[in-house]
Amino acid sequence: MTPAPAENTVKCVVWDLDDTLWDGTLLEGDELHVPDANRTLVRVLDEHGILQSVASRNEPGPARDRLRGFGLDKYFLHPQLGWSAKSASLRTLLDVLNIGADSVLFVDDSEFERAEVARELPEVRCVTRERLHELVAGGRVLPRQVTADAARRREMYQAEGRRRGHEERFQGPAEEFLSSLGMTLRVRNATEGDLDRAAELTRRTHQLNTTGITFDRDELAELVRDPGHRVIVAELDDRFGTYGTIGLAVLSTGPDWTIRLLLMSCRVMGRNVGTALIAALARTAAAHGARTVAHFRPTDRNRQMLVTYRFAGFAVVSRSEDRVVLTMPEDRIPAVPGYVRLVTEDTATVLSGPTQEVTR
Amino acid sequence: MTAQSTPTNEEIAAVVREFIARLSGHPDIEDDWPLISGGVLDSIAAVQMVDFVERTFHVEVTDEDLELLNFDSVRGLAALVTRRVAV
Repeated sequence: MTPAPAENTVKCVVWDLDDTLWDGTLLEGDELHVPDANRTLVRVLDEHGILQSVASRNEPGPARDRLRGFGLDKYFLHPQLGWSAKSASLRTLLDVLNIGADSVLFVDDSEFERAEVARELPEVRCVTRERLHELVAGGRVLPRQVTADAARRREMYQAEGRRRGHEERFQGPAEEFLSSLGMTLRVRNATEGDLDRAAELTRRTHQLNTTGITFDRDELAELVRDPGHRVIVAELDDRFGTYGTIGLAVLSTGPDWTIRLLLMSCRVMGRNVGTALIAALARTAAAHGARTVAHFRPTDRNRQMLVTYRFAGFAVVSRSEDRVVLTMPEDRIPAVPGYVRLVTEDTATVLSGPTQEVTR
Repeated sequence: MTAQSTPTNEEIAAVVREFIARLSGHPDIEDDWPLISGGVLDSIAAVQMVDFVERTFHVEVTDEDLELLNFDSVRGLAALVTRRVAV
């Protein structure tokens, strides 16, 4: 008896192919057929941010061709096709996907294969496809809430793989590398759909975080409604795909616009887009006739954000035990670096500079 | 770097130039190249530069020193360190 998964902690489903993902055995020349229920489930898992892969004993070439023929190949990361033990395939996947064995569901029709994996990797949950369908229908697999970023997890993973390949092959100085990415930073007011991701960012981001203030979803919802505040999110794309929502700013908007919190995900570490985000905020404030003020609360990990503020032109106006207050002189609003295109929502009239800017 | 003698600006510039060449992948860094505003280095690299000069020259870089002007070129950084080691 396979123990049922506890709370929905499944991050990855690994499928066997023959008589599991599809009906029939490839090597025996059977006519293969993917049941509609499986096809739907693969899509549903994907849309809920659950990664999927394949562990199948088959000739890699033909198996890959069939996956492509069924239009399913894009859903499976690092398919493990060959003759090694399934436990070895799963170990490889745990390693390349950087996930724990206890977050993996392995689906195989063969009792022998399930037992082999269960013996070698006791934390991996091994189930038949019938059991997988039951678990999903019983609400035991899919996360209750899916942020826009989670829904794009597989695509973002694939984009990151292509990007890393480009970075490793790239010969040349850093600024040419940044230009080669073709980055677009979209800065806009947060809406309802952004709040879960925004709250998650305040909890998870420590290094590129100016004050470390955390907000939960409800608090952010209140700030979005409050005319005295703005909650602003930033998304970054490049020619390899999206990085998702990677930046958050919370401002109080009185006579001065005060950046109470500015953070960026470590996904964009080294992309040098902080100045562009600060420029967008300062220009928006200026368009509303306001001066831009920023708070910084030092921790042992976030000095880089003070550096970012200072280099973007902010000057220190006061300093207490646990807080630095900075202002942006009106004549020193930074230019947007040439390697990133800035797209903003409501500030197009004041945006100018070397980059092409677009209203939505 | 010996502790006895105060390094000259030229000695400091040589050390800084070599460090930035390594950090940026530019073997032939010019002393007045705009490193940060020109996109040669990012703010992570800037933090590494701060750590590097503090360790190498035994000086403290204060928050006030975090002016773009002080970090945007080999010349600026060497001048900052020269002022600090002279104190």
